[in-house]
Amino acid sequence: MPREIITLQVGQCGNQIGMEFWKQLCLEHGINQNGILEDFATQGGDRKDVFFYQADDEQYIPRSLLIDLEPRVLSHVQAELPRLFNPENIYQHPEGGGAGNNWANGYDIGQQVQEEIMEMIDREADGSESLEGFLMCHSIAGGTGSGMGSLLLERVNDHFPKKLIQTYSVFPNQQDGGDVVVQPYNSLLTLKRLTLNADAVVVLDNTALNRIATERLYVDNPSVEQINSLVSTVMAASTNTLRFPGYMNNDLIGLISSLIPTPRLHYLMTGYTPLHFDTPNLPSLMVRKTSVMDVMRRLLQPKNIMVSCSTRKDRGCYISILDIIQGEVDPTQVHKSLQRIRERQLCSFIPWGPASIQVALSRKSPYVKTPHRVSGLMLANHTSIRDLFYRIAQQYDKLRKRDAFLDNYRKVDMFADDLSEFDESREIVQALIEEYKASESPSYINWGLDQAVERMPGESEFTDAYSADPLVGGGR
Amino acid sequence: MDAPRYADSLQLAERVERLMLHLVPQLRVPTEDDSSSARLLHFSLRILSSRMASSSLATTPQSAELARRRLVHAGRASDALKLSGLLPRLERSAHGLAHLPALLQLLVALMNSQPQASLDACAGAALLARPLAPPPPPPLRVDPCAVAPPHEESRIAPPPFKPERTVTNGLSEETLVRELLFVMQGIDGVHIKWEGAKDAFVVPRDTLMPAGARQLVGRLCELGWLYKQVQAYVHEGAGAGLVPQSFRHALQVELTEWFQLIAILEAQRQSSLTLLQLLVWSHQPLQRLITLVQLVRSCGSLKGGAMSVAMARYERHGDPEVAGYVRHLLRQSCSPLLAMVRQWVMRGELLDPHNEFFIEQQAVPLNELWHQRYTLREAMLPSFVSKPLAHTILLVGKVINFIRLGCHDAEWTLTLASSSAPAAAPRDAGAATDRHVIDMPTLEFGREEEMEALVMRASTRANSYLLRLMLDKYMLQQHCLNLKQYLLLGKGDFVQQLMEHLAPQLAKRVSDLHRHQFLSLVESAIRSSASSEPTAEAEVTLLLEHLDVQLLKDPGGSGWDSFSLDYRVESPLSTVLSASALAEYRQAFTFLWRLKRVEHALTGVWRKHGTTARLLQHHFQRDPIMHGCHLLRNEMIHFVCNLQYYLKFEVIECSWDDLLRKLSAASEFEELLAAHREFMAALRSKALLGPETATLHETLKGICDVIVQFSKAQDVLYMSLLEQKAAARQLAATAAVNTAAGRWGCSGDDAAATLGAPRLQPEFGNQLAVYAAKYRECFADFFRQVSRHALLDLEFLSFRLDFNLYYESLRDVHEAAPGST
Repeated sequence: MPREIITLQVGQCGNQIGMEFWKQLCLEHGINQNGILEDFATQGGDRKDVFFYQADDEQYIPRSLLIDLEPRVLSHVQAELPRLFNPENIYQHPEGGGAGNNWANGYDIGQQVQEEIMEMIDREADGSESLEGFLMCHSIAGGTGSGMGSLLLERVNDHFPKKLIQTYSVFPNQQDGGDVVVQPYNSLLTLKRLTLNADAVVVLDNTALNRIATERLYVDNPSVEQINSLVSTVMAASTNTLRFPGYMNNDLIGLISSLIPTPRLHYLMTGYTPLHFDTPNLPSLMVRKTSVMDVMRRLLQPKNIMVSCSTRKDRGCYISILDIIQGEVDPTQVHKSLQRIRERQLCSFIPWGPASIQVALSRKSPYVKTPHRVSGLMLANHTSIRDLFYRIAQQYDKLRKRDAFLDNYRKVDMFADDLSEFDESREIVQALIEEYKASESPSYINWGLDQAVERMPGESEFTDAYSADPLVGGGR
Repeated sequence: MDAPRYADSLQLAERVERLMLHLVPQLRVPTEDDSSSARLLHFSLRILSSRMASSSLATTPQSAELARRRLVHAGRASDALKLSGLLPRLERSAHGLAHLPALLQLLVALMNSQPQASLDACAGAALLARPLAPPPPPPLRVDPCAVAPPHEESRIAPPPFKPERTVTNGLSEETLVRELLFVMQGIDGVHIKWEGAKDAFVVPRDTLMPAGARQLVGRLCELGWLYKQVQAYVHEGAGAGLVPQSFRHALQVELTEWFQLIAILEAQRQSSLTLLQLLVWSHQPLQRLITLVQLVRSCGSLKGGAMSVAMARYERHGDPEVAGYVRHLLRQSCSPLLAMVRQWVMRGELLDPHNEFFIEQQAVPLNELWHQRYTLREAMLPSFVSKPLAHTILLVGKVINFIRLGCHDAEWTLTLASSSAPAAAPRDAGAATDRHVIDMPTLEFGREEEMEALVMRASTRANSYLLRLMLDKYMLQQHCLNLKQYLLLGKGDFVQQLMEHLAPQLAKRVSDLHRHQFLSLVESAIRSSASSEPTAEAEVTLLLEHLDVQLLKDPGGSGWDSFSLDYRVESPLSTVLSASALAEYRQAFTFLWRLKRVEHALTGVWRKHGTTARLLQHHFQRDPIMHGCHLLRNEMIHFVCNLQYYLKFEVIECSWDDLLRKLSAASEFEELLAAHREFMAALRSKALLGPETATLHETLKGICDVIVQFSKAQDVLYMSLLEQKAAARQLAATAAVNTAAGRWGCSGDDAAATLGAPRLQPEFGNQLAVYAAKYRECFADFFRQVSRHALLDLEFLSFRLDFNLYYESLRDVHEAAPGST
């Protein structure tokens, strides 16, 4: 009875990174591209059933739904992995027109076809014994991934209130203005759902991924495949402890519950080291000596963070960090590394509560050979992520001030009467930014107290009693 | 002393015969009857092979000094000087060196007895005069032509003590000599009798004899007394046992030689034997008898190794002759001990009917074989075995027995052949015994290095076999891994399954729980967490065989406190994974399980907080009570997670690495045991399970209790919100129906209260304050204890618990302003 996780790949981007993710998973579990277990894959000690199930003919089938409104990427996936996915799990809108990079279209079409998709999800959920939750891959800038993804987040949340939803959300590249002019609209609207309906969001920032590819991996014009391979590395590593169970973090909730203190502050940054592209023409100078200390220190370097927000010490602070270290690790090294990090004050933490670098040593797939002895993934909750939201909000504000490009939105029922949906989303994003900002200060401990006092004057005694505890003194 | 071994007796006989023919020309004349020459040869050989004859072993300087003194005494000082001059030359010739002392002694003896006779004549006479051997003297006498003339000749030499031969009054010397020969055999003579009261042979006072003779007789009687002592021990000595037995046997041999000497003397007496001669000739045997009596006395009722120690004291005697003689006896006496050592080292058998060996077997159950069954009997440690060696010897036999009895490998035999290739051949009984003969070199006393080498070789062999057995056949490492994976919760997916299966059961009271239910739940958890790989089936079977459930019967507690996984092992694994070690594993399980349970509860709370946030999201987003709950829960999760990280990665994993390293490096079984013991010790002290951290452990339990209470309270809160939400929905539905029917959507006061926001009751706020205070108090207590504890490893824990120095800053504030709020 594993804690199954169902993957929802929505939209172009979602399906592309999803495909890379499954390829990586197959590799790590010794499953070939037809879903058949390789002969050598007998001693893995892994749990394939979290992400796969077995068909009658022993074929491993991903617990994954491939959803898109246009055929291009889906047919590409089917061409590349013709036998891996269950054909019943692929939803392609019959018209195939796509969402036209419009959140409203995606959301609207989603509403029309939601019965069908929910049925597919239900079927998949029924096929698992002890479903833990959902994992959604999508982009927040386009139409399908953002709009339809948002709808699915709401529906799934509604339908499975007790199941977890984690998303791997690709944030658009903000440096070159993006390929979609309305991406601030789409992003903002999606951010509302990510904030309200997801339990954890792993932010995959295209800006940062491109920067890492060019600056760290010396690729001048990184291809989509290359960027996606970075993404799939991160996705595979962050689910590693679920698939190769060890002492801790063997289920999704265990993994994220220690990272996320309050329900809203659930945006996670990632870092991975050492990175390498699996291309032959790249020089081997990328291969460096790796040790636990090296890996843990590099993970804290802002340049290795896959989000374009500075995690420098003077910019915000870490709420929580989880390092998943894989490979041949001497466990005694961990303590030494932690000590060094604290001595040199390589990172700053929140002042209102305990926080630490949690280090989970995890097994590595025996079937994948990497040039490095040790590799590490960092999942971190850092307050500077609000910079990202702030930039999106600013771009939105710029567009919105001019009421630009809103026509296509108004065509859809939801925005036909008014644009309150935009305003509400903007408010929620603002609240999110504020909460992240508040969490940098010691007074976060009393956050919301003032409002509450205004609202419920009669109930203030207990808050006094709560804060009367001497140990909370640090908050004032 | 070492009698030269005339192994090649044939060659010797030939030489003697040639010498005889040379010395006694009469024999060269061929006669029909060869018997006289044959007898002569026989006699010569007997003398030569007699130990008595070759007894005098002295060093050259000693003999030379003796010879010189004799010469000076005899007034031949010039000869003495000449001897001194000649000796170095003799010594220089390598050939003469070995027998030089004997040669000198011979010369001295010849000088004493027959000064006028030439060497040739003397030797011939001596040969022919003495052969009148004990029982059948007649044949020699019958042939006068062959024997008489030299006999006649020999008479020429008058014995030096001749004047004394005629005792004028009282007993004749002859009588005395005859009497004394009896006395020397411990038999009463006609005149000299044993007097028990005086514990001596006594010549009656009224017997007339010269004072000199009386003195001589008195001295010679000592021989009788000594003989009697030895004989008494031989016949009714107190010490029962194999070592005393072989000592007696050795004594018996000595006594036989003694009798032989007496027989020779008796023969001599028939021709002529004076008291003085008797005294001189019995001088050496006297020394030996004295040594024997000393040995007999000091052995007393001792046996076994103790006896060998008592005897070995005399081995350090200053006189090399005595020392050598004692060593000879010791060798004979100790041979049973060496046989025991061999038997023990090679086969692990204790053949020790009289408790003489230095290893004894205790009557303990087989599962205590390794630790208690065999012990060292220090009192019986023989002289030739040092204590460390004794321990090695003990270990070897123990290993062999452990393999046979503990590891159920009764067929196993220790082979010392350097390559195991022939040993792999089919083992039929005959071949096996043959090999034993070859493989088991006889141990000999005095060759301690050989024995040590044998012991060491056997030890290496036996140990490496046992190691292979434990690690390969009994899969010690696999069992250790199982313990780590299951009892120390290393296998996360299993733990998860178990938690989910058991949680509903464990909430019940202990009295309502039944072991068999748990067993089946554990089994299903094992099965469902087993991988789908084909090899997994064997692992599952192995696990099901060993994994068990223990329910402590503590009627007050809940299932959470009393449940524990258990692991069952049989011999020989139980020697490593002893009952006490397993008890510690269980203790560790209980502790880790409690933490897991708390973690489980907290992730449940986290989940509900997420859901609650969604329920409340459209209303008051920033509810301070909920916010307080979140932060408290976050603190708790931080604590529980970091404590677990510490326990798992810094305690268990580090020690486990150590254990694995030691297991694979071990060359002896004892090292395996030590490795596991160290693992357990590290676990105990670092994981707060030891007595020195008992208060910490208690505080920790308190924290866990608070967390569980908090989680339960959060459940209640959650339920209340859900109910409100449901009610609101219900109301909204009613309102919708009402509106549709054209009435007011809501009516009455009740609706006003519930419509809209689900509200948190103020008591939840109070509750939160109580739990927060309680938790923070407990935690502060715990943290204070941890950070001030003497155990260095706990520093690691405090380091993790407060990585960002949050609690430290709190404490600083608190301490800076005591009593402030």
